[in-house]
Amino acid sequence: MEPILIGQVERKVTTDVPASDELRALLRVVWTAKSGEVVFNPAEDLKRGDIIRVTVEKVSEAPKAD
Amino acid sequence: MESITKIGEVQLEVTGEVKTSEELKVMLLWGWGAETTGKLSFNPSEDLKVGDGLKVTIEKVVIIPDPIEEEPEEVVAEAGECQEAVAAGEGAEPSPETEGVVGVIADTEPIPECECSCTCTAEEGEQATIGTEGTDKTETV
Repeated sequence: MEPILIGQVERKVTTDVPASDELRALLRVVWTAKSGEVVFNPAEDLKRGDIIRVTVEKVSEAPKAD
Repeated sequence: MESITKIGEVQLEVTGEVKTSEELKVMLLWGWGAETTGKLSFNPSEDLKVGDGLKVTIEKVVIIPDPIEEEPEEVVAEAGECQEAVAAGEGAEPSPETEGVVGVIADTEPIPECECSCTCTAEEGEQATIGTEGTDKTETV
């Protein structure tokens, strides 16, 4: 399926993150987790004040129950 | 202008339903769980169901300020106009009315009517005034 844009948001980084450190991405609604955590290493150092853009797209749908 | 660098891309699977009326928050955690950004939340454009696959792309945005626009050509053009005026003045015959007043203009420099950025000397200005419509101006001086 074609990716569907679910949302996009930009915010400033609030802390320095070296590229050697791992970041964990997950989704929440209030305090409830809506996804598992996925670990990745940033491609380059992030510094406090940098602006990052996060884009969420739906790339596959849940299999329909028969 | 923006410069965008891809920082990372991850694929997640939705584990709980999310409705469009709910505020979905993307967490980027570091170390023991410190949040690394301000609140990354939005209302999803459509309902998400358990098992949906999501791709999350993280990019760094650098805003590059536009260079200051300089207009050197206009300055050159103005200087060129002045040069043309001077050149025109060289070939022009002084009118009988201004002929005797030239010496008065030569004493006042720079020429107030000359608005270009070049450094016209009184001598050049004098010629320019004679060559153009400077008859009235010279009378007022």
